[in-house]
Amino acid sequence: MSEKSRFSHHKLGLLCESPLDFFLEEGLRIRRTFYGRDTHAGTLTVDFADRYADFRRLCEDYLEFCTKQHAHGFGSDQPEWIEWSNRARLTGLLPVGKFADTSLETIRLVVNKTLVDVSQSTPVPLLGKKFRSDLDLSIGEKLEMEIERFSSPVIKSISFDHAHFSRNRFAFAVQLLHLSAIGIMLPEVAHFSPKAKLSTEISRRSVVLEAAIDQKEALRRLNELVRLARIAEKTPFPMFGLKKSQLRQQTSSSVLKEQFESFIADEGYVTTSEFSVYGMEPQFDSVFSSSGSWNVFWQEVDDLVSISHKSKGRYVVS
Amino acid sequence: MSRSLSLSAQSLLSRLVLQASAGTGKTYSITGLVVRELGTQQDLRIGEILITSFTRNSAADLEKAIRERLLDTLELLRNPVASSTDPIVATLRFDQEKAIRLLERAVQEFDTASISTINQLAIRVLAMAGISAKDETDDRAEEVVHRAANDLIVEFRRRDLGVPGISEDRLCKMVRTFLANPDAKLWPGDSPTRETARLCRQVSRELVRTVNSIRARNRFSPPLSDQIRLACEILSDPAQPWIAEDFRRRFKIGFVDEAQDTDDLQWAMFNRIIPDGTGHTGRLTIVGDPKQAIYGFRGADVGAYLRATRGKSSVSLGENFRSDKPVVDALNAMFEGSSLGAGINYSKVTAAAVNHVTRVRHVAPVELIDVGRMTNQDKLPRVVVAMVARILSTAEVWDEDCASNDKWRKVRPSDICVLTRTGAVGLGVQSRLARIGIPAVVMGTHSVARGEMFAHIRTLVEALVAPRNQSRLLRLAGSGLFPYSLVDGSATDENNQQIVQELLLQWGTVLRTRGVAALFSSIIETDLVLSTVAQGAYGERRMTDLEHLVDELYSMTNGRGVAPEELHACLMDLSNMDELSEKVQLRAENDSDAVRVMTIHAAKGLQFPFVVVADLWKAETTVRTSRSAPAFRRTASGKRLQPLLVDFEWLLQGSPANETALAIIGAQNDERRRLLYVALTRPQHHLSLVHTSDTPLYEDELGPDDSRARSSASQFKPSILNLTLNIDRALQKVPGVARIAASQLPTPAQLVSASASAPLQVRLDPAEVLQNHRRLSFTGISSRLAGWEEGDEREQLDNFPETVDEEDYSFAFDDKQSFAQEGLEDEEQFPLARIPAGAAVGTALHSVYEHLRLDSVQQGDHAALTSEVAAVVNAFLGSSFLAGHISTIVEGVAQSVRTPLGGIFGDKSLVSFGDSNRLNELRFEMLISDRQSKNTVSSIGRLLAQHLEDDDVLADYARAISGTDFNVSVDGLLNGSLDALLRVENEHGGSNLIVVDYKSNRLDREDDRRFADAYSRERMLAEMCHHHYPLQALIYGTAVHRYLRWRNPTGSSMDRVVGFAYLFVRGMAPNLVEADDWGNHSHGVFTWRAPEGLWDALSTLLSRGRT
Repeated sequence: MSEKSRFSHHKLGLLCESPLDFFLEEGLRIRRTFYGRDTHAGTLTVDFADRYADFRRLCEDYLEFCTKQHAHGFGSDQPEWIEWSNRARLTGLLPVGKFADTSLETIRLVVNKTLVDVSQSTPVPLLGKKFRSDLDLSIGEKLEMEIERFSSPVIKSISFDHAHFSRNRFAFAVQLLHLSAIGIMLPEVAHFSPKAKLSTEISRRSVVLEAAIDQKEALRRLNELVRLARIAEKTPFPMFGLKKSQLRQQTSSSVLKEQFESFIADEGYVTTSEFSVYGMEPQFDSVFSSSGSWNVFWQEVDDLVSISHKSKGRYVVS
Repeated sequence: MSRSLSLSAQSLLSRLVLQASAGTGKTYSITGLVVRELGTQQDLRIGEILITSFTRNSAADLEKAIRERLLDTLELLRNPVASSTDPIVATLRFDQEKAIRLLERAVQEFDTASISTINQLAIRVLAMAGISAKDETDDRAEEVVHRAANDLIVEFRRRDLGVPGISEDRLCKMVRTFLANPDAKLWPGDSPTRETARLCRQVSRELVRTVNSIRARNRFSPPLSDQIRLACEILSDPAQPWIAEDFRRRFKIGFVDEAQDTDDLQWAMFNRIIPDGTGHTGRLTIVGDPKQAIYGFRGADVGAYLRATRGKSSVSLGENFRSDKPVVDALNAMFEGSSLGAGINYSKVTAAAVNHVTRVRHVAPVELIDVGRMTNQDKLPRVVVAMVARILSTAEVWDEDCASNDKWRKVRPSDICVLTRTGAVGLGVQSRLARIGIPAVVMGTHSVARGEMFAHIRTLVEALVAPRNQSRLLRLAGSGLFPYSLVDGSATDENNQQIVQELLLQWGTVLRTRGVAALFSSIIETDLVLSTVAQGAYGERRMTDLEHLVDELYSMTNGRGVAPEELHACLMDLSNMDELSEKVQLRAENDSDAVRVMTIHAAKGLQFPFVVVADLWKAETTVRTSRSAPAFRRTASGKRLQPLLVDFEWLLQGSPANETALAIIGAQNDERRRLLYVALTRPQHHLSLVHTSDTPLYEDELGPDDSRARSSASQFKPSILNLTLNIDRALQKVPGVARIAASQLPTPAQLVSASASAPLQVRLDPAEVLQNHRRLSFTGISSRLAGWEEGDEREQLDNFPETVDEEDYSFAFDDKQSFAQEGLEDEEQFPLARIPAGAAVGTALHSVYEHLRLDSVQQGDHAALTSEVAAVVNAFLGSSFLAGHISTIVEGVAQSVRTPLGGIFGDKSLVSFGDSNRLNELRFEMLISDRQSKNTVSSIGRLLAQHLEDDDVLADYARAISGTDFNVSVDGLLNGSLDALLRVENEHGGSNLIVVDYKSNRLDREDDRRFADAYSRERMLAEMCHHHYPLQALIYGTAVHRYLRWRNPTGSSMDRVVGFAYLFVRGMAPNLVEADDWGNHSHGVFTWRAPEGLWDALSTLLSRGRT
């Protein structure tokens, strides 16, 4: 028997978020990265403004350092902090000389605050364990899941990228469905990240499953999602700036068409996945042909994982 | 109040101000005055007239207009036409014979005319001081600014100045502002705290020190932003008085066109070149219209114009020749009593008598379209498209050239121009027009680096960087360069991918060996790509953008072969360029019958039968600081210029002080009103103006905390919106004006379907739209020739056997078997013969020859020569891929440098020229006629054949390229770079100049027994002809000849271009001078002497266009 193909919750999250990106990345193996040049020759790094990735990497490292020591962060005069910061200075990721001091202090404040917020919001041991689960689905596929900090009853997701949540909320929803499907009913995934780029304020957002989704329903949804993923690997499902609620309907109303036209006329169109796939002159009637199955696909995806924003950073999967 | 200009009688006084409102015939007047002076003054040569304009395009257009006027006037003088009303012709008829003679002389000497941008003038001043500068944005300059800002932050921190939080980005803007404005002063506010004042002083000191050090570092290669300042400095330098004197002696008459777009530094330069006042004979005419000053964002300062013209004698052009009377009346009503900035008031103009008519019907000459309350900017393109569709479906225009009896015809798309303030609205309009089947082209709306073609080229270059990367390959296959689709799976088809990959590998080699022009030539010659790129509604756009990108990338890579990584870096630099830069601003497509959609800046100087003005009612509410720091000048009571105050608070906090913000927003809104004036003065017969009768949008949009913007808005009456409201009220009194609510407009689809049965029409002549001069290079010409040679008719050139060009096989060392066998009998005499080949080798060797310093090497001192060569070779090649060949290269280069060059050089070798008689790497730009004329390779060939004796070594080549088969165009702005120019004193006390090119081509073949045979005169001639090097040398020689003529317009100098020499350095051997049918010659050196009169004849051929 041949080995089952595998999907991760990140991939299924991408499917729900943007099936066209899923088509490009999973169906065609096209990476959408642009190879830019953002640094100026001969300049010293004096802050993290153009080096956000380095900042995130160092924060992750310090977080790991703290959690290994079961600490909610360290003060600037504590030997542990001095030890870690001396080590960090050797990585070459920090700005030069004295400028590293300011940057280190930013890292310390962001991570300390995150750790405090995490422990306050979920009174459970700070450190979860890495949790791995492979789920064999009835349609003959396997779903992989790996959670970095797993501790019942809440999955705590920490990222030092302020935009992480908006890109991964569907992946969180799939995580919850997966856990539910294997009989672990968790109330939520709680996500902690800076409010803005390099901000020391931390925001907490959470994704929860609607109460009606039980183990059986979760399993059904995952099976269906993987079935749709197989379709979306082969068929592009673009959005052209339209909302999912609009795409569910089988209509080519003038409003949809007008939005479609506006999307294409925008100067930023050439940087979109839609441009990569459809080029400069897509026709509304051909992309969204009335006989096509696009609206069925969108209905199914939206019915399987729909996220609505409730108050106070709470997002509900229905 | 100024008098009206009399073209036939007005004396050109020193600092005469010619006020030229829009549409009043400014170009006609300038060209008329120039022709009048040239046709009446025996002592005035065209090279003694200086004319500057604001942009390269406007300077090029003015140059073209002057030449046309010269030729037209000559024609009318030679063959009088009774109906001619040209006052200049009438004036010149008083002494017709003399006028014809003088104007013919001016045409002959036209290439000595100084018609340029102000920057190009500054570059000439710098060149006189031995400073090399380029008239283009220099990426290194931006790097220098970033480094300086970075250093400043480090310095502030090191000295603990107590200014934490200064962002690098703001400091960069600060440095740019100080670099561009020598009188800039850091301003902490009028009553700063003691601590703020202290900080400001300290930061200011560091900033000034940094700026001075950048200027010092850039002194010998100044970037665009510093050239005029440095030129002023040189013109006032008591140590080099001859430079200013030379310019003063040279220019008897000057015209500053578009003078409203100048600044104080530029006036300082003009005042040094053509000084005002007693004792000076030069006369400078200032031509401008402060109402059209719309380039503040590029550093132009209308205040400088007002200061320069205050109290000067002034004449005006008060008659509008552009617009029909109803449009002029409406314009007067709209602007009467309005101020377009401090000291800039509107004066009424009258419509020319011939325009006292209405040339449109079924629509009013002026229409106001009220869009009501517009909360969503997306709505605007729809309204504009509906207006365009309505004009096209219902309106008719009176056209004198129309075949119908009554001269009325339907409006064509090319009759209409849509003017927008922002690129986004323009793109929206174009896209929507295209989608309902109305052809539309855009120009100047945004950067070419934001467009579709750029995205495709970027995809291509990313694939070239990693040609085996499947992801990038597939992305390329699915891009708009290929007919394959990611949707239907044709892009993933293995066969198609193989086609793409093979092309990619070929293109990579072409790019590395022959450069950008050859790469894109190969791409476009691929039918698969051409048919894909050129198809569809955007085909013209893509082709235009492709040509534009090739121009810029070619210029950035200096025409040489480059690695894909370098090309990618160039693309990134283009994408980072300010999108208002002339280099990247979208060019007009070549499509003829299409609606023009353009920004008002791009439309300046143009006119259109129908104009729709889309989005000009909004006032500015924020301070724009995209490239520079917020700054302002206080109004001076006298003539003295107040310093530019640069906001210190903004540097610390990121938001400007109140006074700065008010001053800047006010200036921005003044400019916005002038922008509206420029827009409303473009139409000839019809104007549609979109506006809103709703409450001021910006006031609605302001929140409760926006008191500053609210206050500024109320301070600067009339606001843009109020002006529009004034327009609305004023128009109630003017006949021929209609008011339409946007909601009443029929939908475009209804209108288009109603007119779908219109008769089929023949494609029309292109509308008059400014075009950039086509830029070309010899590589471009030769690649077109190569394309031709691939056809059936290459017999004649096949007489010149083919060898392997250095540029054809970079890194392709496995081709070695086609070269000479190992162990030739004279192997030791040719050390360079077997070093690796390829474009990179050629570039490396060029660097070596360029940087050799030979003055200190005594002739015959081989040890000193070898030592100098070794130092340069090690410096340039020591860590390159040629590192393993260093000793061979040192020996070979040293040998080539002491080889007697023979022919026109006699016994002289490169070493005997030293450094003082050799100029290295001369870059030039030369205008070869223009798009309307037909200069071709074959016309050059015919002229060459006429001048050569039958036994001249190039006679066969001249005949070979004379045929119609070589009708390959060479018109355009030619960029080139001479490897070297050598000087030999002649018997008249002047200099004989020889154009020199170093070649590293391998000429040896498998059957050669001696390298001496491989680099014989015959073999070199074949190589020369095969690659059209003689054509290259003729064009380059003409450029030098023109330069000499420009330096000395009277022709009294004894300096001459006598010929050219191509040094095939691999074959140069000092001990092998031989005599043959052509005289003594050295192996590896091809020299040629030009016949008398050839350069003059070539220059005339390439400059006339038509006579």
